[in-house]
Amino acid sequence: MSRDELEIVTPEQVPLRFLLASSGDRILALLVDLLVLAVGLLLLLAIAWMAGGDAYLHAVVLLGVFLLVNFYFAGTELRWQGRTIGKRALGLRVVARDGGPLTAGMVLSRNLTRDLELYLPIAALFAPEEVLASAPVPVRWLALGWLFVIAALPFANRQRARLGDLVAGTVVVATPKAVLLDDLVREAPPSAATGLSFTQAELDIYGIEELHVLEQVLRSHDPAPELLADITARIQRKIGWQSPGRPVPPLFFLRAFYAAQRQRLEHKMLLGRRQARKVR
Amino acid sequence: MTAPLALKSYRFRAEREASWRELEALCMRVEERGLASLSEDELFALPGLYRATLSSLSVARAISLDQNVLAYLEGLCARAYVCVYGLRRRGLAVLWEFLARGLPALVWGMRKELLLAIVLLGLGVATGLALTLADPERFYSFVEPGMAQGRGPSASQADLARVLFDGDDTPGSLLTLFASFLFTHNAKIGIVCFALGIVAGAPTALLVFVNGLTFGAMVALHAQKDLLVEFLAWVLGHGVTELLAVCLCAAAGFVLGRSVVFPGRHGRLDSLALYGRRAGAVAIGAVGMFFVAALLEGFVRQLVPSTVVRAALASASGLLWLLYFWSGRRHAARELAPS
Repeated sequence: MSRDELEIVTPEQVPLRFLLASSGDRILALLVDLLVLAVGLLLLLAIAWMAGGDAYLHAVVLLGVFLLVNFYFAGTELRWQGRTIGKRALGLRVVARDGGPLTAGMVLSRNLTRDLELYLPIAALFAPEEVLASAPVPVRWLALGWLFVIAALPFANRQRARLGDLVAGTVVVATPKAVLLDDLVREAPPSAATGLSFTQAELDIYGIEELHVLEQVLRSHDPAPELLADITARIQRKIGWQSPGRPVPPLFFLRAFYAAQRQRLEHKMLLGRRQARKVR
Repeated sequence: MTAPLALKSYRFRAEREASWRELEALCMRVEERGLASLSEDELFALPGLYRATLSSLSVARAISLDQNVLAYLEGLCARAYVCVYGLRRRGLAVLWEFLARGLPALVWGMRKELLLAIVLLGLGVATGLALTLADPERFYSFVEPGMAQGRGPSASQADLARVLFDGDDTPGSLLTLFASFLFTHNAKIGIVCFALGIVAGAPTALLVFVNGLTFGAMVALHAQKDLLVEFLAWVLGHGVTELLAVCLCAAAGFVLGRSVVFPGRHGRLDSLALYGRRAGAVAIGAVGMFFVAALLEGFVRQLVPSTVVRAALASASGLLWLLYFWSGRRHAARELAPS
């Protein structure tokens, strides 16, 4: 499991690997949300301005501002299953860290702390003198420092959890859309027809890691012929492969080898011998 | 095709690929247009497809060395997992369940913390009261000018009485404005009170105490001008609800603090997550109470200038809240069972 992955055990007891949302994506999502919020606030202000002296409308606008500022994030996350507008735009979402379903309580809890870790630090950035205006100076410096520690929390832990995530037990993950490509084996030439065959000893050299590298090469969009020829030569040398006496095109050979090697390694895996790397 | 047929992972994929594709299409639609866009049959099929694909993933991890298939299944299962276990129930049913059972039960569960918050608030009030009675000038150090609104030791009894009994110059409208302003201010204090609880609860305690100081100073000011009963009736009509909400937020903050300092048999982070959800729910309930308080202040109090009726309102609201939270006793065992 790499640094950027998080394992969540589903209620079916299958561990699922989630990709943690990167800091950059989360900041971008936040900026998108703040932009939406700002547009909403401007609209409300415009309404208040057009209303002129109507005090009832002012009260409604004020209420609207309060609800928007405090419940925009919670509301959108409740509406779209853990995704605010910004998270939707960047393909992120909130999931429960313990693998259970995401509940309304979690969403509300993780967004209740935004005041402390988002709005207050922003206010402190632009007008530090406004924070705790009546407190003595050392206390204010302490409070300011503490605010920034809280704001920087997501950069200081492995799950990139902010305070609200810790309180609610949630994680923000990316849900990239993987595409199912054709099986490489399907395109491999039948070994009997080509006369390319490999002995067990030849297939016991390489391990899973090398197989995966070969898969990447074969799946790459347009591999250079020199690269394929080079890899082919190396593999043939390493496993001591005897040429059938006629020239074999590198791609042809590599596909046949991939199929045979995968079959051998999967067979061994099934018998409990997982060969991770090549034999030195 | 002899080679593919001999490969178990190839056969495995060929047998199941159709159901993966089906699940993928469903997930795509749920992500874009929500669960409501699925037909009844599709909705019925979703969990089955999800479990089948999850089992495919388990099998693939054991038998397949095709990286692309594994990555695809991991991604698909993650997306389907979110569709199946994502936030489902919403709307009025959740709200009703929360108000009728959840909130009282949660509050009952943290009654010790609530008591602590109330005692702290009481200590703050007593301190503010005693200090301001001893030296009226201290009023200025406890009450910020914005909140005092011209009230202070130098104001005459008539001035203070005017604040208590009229202020109905622009009927209705200005008062709604004031009410929603108060709402935004106090709800904010409550939310910060909750959020600060994470630091072992110490700042929360301080905040509650300071709030008490302010209130105590105000009480002292009016007591010195012989307006004690009138002031208490004026402020407690909505103040009971409001102060209780502040105490609830503080209690929620204390629960957070306790879960960090004394995590018990859970890990520290797990403990925080477990109690954080409950505390957050209580804080949300408290925000609702602030709303009620603002309504009481904005409409009921301004329309009722009688001290007797105001005092009745204060006692009634206090009693109602007590009964409401007392009702949580019945549900508390279920709500607070370790999950």
